[in-house]
This record gives sequence, C-alpha cells and structure tokens, in this order.
Amino acid sequence: MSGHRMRMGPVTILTFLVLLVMAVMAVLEVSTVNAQNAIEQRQRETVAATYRNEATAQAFLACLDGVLANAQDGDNPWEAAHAAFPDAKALQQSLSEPCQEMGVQAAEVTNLDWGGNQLTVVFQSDGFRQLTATVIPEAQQGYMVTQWNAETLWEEEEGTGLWTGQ
Amino acid sequence: MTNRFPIARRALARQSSPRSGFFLEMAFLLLFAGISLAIVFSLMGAAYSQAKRNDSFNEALNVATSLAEQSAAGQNVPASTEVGQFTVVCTPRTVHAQAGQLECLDVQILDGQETVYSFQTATYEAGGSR
Repeated sequence: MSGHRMRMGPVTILTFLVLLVMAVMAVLEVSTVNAQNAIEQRQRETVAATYRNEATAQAFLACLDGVLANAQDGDNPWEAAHAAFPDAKALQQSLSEPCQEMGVQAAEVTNLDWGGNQLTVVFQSDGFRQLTATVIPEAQQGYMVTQWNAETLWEEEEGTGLWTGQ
Repeated sequence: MTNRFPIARRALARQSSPRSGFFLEMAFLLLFAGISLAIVFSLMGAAYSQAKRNDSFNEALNVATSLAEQSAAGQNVPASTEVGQFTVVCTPRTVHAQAGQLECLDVQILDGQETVYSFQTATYEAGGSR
C-alpha cells in the first residue's frame, strides 16, 4: 500500500513557486501599466495646455492687430495698443471674447511687459505650461513677432537624500 | 511513544488510505492552483489590454498633434484618420477678427462614438488691409 503513495511535497512546492513567480509578474505588469497611465495623463494635459496657450496667444495677435489697424491716422498705433492693453488684466479681458468665439478657455496672462519698445506677454495654462510671446513695432504689418517660446515650468527637487560629501 | 495509542492508530489507518489522501491533496492543490491562476491571468489580461489601449492612444495623440501642426502650417488635413481603435477627427473653423481671421481647428479623438480627448488650436491670419 505504501508503494502507491506519491510524494506531494515537491509538486506542491513547484506549484507554489510557479504561482509566486506569475503573481510577481502580474503585479509588475499592473504597476507598469499604472505608470504608463500616469505618463499618458501627463501627456494629455501637456498637449491640451500647449494648444490652449497657442490659441490664446493667436487671439492676442488678433486683438493687437485689430487695435493697430483701427488706430486713427496720425496717431502712433503702438501707443494705441499700449492704451488698449496697459496691463495683464486688461489684455485678459480683451481675450475673453475671441477665445469664447473660438471655443477655447483662455489661458491666464501672467505677465505683460511694455519695456524696450517691445511687448512681451506670458501665457500660462494649468500652472505648468507657459508661452512667452514678444512683438515689436513694424512698419508694414504693424507688428512683428520676435519671440514665441513654449516651455514647461518645473522646479528642481532639492535634497535627494544622497550624501554629497559636504 | 509510537505504541502509545495502538487502537486509535489502527482505526485511523483503516479510515484513511494513502490513495484517498493523495486524491484529497491533489484536488486541493488543483483547486488552489486554478483559482490563483485565474486571478493572475485576469490581472495580466486586464493590464495587457490597458497597455495596448495606451499605446494606441499615444499613437492617436501623436497623429492629432501632427495634424494640428500641419494645419498651423497652412496645409489641408484629413477630416478623419483611423489610428488603431481610435479615430482622429479634425474640424476646421474660421473666426473673424477685427483685422483678420483666426483659422481654428478642433481636434477630437474618438473611441467608437465617444469623444475621449479633444483640444483646439488656432492660427491668426492678418487681413492685409494695411
């Protein structure tokens, strides 16, 4: 009778090992997919914020061009533009209508600078995507874009926990 | 020690043979392994399908941004582009401004009939009146 008895110990251990390995692989795969989801979500937000900045900045060009075109003869168009957009708040209000017509939620105008015979406007969306546009007066078209810089705002993390030897 | 309970040991030996113990142990092992494998495979299957969807969506997003750039450069873009399980739909619009017009492009990514992602872009074109 004892000759028919199979030793179950090795089979059980082997089964447990196989299951353990597969469970670890499944957990790794799930965590990898979760990480991919997070990256994809970030990419979605980045693309949307980038194009929101872009559309708002294009609306700014439309507003600026309109003000320059409607300046009275004999007036300095650039001064008319300065009067129309004295600060970021005024520009933000001017952008609301064209952005609404475009179906775009206007990006936030975080800075407007009239320094050095040029106008620099900074647009920001979602707190991390920023577009800096600079225009200067130009005789033929009224204005010329000299800077159109899209960037991502980020802060370098300090204190990595590693000993630097200091 | 071994001869301490001879009657009970003989009764126990009569009730459970080695063969029945083997089948009982094997059945338990198979049940446990089956349930565990089902859980593991369902997890891996869900993760695999999600990863495949992510890849497909990323590709669709790349196509969408590429079409937006083409549109901003003044090129015509297809109204609908199939990318895997997703469809990239571009809808151009013109918004008139004071001294020109804004060429807008609504970009949507559809999964079947459902819009899963959308963004808008625009390009200003001066009227050239000056």
